[in-house]
Amino acid sequence: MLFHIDLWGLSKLKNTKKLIFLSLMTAIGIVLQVIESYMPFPIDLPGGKIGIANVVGLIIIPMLGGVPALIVAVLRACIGSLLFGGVISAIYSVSGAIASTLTMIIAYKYIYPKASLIGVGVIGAVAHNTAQVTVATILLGNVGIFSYLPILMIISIFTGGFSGLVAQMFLIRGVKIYD
Amino acid sequence: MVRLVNSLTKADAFIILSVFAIAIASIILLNTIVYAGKPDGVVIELNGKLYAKYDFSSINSQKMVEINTEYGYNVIEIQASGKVRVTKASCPDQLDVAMRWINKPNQMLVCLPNRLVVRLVGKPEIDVVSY
Repeated sequence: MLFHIDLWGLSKLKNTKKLIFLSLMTAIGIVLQVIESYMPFPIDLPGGKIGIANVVGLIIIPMLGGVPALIVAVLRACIGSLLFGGVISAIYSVSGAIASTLTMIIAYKYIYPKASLIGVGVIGAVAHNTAQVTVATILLGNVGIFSYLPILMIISIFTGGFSGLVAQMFLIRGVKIYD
Repeated sequence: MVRLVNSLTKADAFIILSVFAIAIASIILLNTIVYAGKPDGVVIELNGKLYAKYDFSSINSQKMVEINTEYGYNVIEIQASGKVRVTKASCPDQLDVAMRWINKPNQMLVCLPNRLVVRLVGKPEIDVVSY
């Protein structure tokens, strides 16, 4: 399922539900990203984001697998940051989205039944912040920005755990609606 | 279709605790090795390149540095006691201003929209200004 690039058979009519669901998820992700951009970011990593929009990825990965999650994450990051940010925030968002979604796909594949979505979310949030710090280091050409990473990791325990909890609650209550 | 875990498991606790432990260990390491001592000077970098370098011993009490380039406008305040802050910035988020004072070696203020990094150094090689 992970690298099954069938584009989930969008041409078939019976998958219209899937298409609508993914479009809705992209829209929810954009809204979350906009809300997030109004939240104060506790440290001075310009353009840095907490990563609440990962909730969408955490919902899609268990339901439809990795590829749709990755496509939705990249679409969400591109559209959201081009609507309400700039080119620099687009670089941050897209790299953070790709890193966190890929890590969450791998984490979900290997640890999921043992750890809940909360653990997967924490791992995704750590990857998200690591990607952002790496991008800031490349953009500024200054390795010292990595000194922000420990604080960001502590923050990502809370944001990732929150994302995981939200996704878990959504799936428990909402999976029947989709099926 | 979906196997759901409805509680915090042992593996979750392990992940959270190990992330926390790594973060705390890095903070302790940073504070004992990287941020140790008192700073000697300020380095201002624009777009990854050296813009200016100031030595605290060559400043009488206070110095304001204005930076007005194609990347943006910033005003940096340097105190001879060994601390520095950004007082004005043309960027929309003003995060560098919100950071207020920094006073340890290797600490830095960053303004990414203006491509600006203000860094405190332990031992500057060059005195005063080198534009």
